[in-house]
Amino acid sequence: MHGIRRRVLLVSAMASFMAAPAGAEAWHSEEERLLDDTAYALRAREGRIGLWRVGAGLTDRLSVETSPALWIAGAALGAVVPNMAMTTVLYDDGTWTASVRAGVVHVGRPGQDLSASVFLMPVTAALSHRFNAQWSIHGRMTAVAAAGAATVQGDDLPFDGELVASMLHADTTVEMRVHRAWAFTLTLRYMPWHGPVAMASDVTTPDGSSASVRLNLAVRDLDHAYQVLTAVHGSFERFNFRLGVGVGDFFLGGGALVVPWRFVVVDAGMFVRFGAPSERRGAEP
Amino acid sequence: MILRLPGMGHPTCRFGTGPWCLMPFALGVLGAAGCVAYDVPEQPDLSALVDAYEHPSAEVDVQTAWRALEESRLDEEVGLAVLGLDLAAGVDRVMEQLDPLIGDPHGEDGSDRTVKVGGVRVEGSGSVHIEETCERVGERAAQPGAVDMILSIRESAVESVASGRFRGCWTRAAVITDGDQAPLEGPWIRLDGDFAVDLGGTLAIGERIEERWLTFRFDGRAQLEQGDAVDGELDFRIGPGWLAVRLEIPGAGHAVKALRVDGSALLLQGASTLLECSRESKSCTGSDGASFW
Repeated sequence: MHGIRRRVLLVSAMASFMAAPAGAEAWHSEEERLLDDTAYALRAREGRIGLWRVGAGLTDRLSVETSPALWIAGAALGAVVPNMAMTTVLYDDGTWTASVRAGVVHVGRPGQDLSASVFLMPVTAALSHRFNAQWSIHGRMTAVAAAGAATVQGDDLPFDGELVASMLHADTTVEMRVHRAWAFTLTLRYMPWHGPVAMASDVTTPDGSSASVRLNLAVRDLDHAYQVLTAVHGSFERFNFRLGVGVGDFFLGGGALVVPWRFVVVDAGMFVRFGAPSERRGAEP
Repeated sequence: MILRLPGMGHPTCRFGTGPWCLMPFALGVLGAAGCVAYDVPEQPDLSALVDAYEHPSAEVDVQTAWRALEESRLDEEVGLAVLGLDLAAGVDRVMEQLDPLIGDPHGEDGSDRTVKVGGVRVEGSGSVHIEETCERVGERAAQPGAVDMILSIRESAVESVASGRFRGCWTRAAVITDGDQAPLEGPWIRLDGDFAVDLGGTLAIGERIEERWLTFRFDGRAQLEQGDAVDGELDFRIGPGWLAVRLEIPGAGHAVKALRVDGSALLLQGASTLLECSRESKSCTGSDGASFW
């Protein structure tokens, strides 16, 4: 009985949510558009706060952001993960938009027994085209470079190693706007190339012998990594969310990290958007 | 600065100079990262030497065999064999250290090019450079010397030939005795020079040498502690409990002499004959068509 009541309440809440008054909704027009997987960026005096990203528009063409999720995940693993990304809009005529996003993520784990320091540098070039108020298409190409070092202090097997890696992947998103505040997207992600992880390590055994290992490790489970994802996006005056489901591999952190998976993937996110509200409310598609 | 782009339906395109400065830097880092890859060292070709051991050219018979054996010396060869076994043990120790990192080969028969690291299929190539200090004994402890060995890795397996260098490495020759006695300790020998070893096939990551036959070629100087130095090239083969060396037979080619390192057996392999020889009776008995390998 409790279960049925709970389900009824849940459905009612969702219905109320979707039938929110039009006045409380924000148009995803050429003035305010989907921010994830597109070339669009926050404008001047705009900001967003969410689990995946917290950002602010410094000017109409330059915004900065960081990912709280990486900070939190790092803290849970005993590491510090400062990260920042900067997006600059190179061109925007209302129909075509081109931007570049460059970021840096540092994974630092200080410690006596194990210390590690890894830098990730994703750079994304993005192009979006808005056909009309209903249809848009977005394409991105992302290159990621990683470099790091780790040291293990132990009696059995002291280890000192470094690694360098890189990869390139692309994604295309078709956006279909079905309602003033609702849109569906179909996203295809594909990794055409990933370089080997170049790893150098030195191991010294207690008897004084040493081994220097220089390896190129090609992660074969990442060959032709892909993702097909459908998602629904809701955008209201301040509250935004997306919920997606698909198949393939995980592309995390805006593609900075790709995890082989080849199974059902889910994607979810929500954030609050603020700043320059008068511009958003009055916009027409 | 402001650039004007034609044909895009918009009058101007503004390029902030600050963000653009990031692009060459970022692309440079990406390009550099994409170019980083380690070389796989080329190893010497020992296939002809291995073939010479497995297919001796000389026909030997019971009449001439013992005379040929008497003219050969074993001391230095056995000393190298002992060192060779140490090298094999060094390779096995490296493989042992990789075990916690790398799980089972992906293919059930180990023929797949990948290994699993943390559940993810990885194909490795590159090199492992092992440096071992030679035995520290008595007056030689201050300058124990060292042996370097380089393993080449392709398709997640150690290539069948490894190579390296002895640098003032002291080893102790052994003298083969009759019967079941252990080899007697012989004079100390200091080795300087290059060597190459055929591992008897590729070695999958995590696999051990253990029961394989290893074919060595040494090119350098062997200096007896109290005696002459010998410069030149030497080859031998070691297997589980056995040492084999090539034996030149004037006018006939070469045969292969194989002996158990405990001295309990002495064999002579010819092109088509395997002879079993006795030091006590100083004679050999043979069986046609048999092969030691």
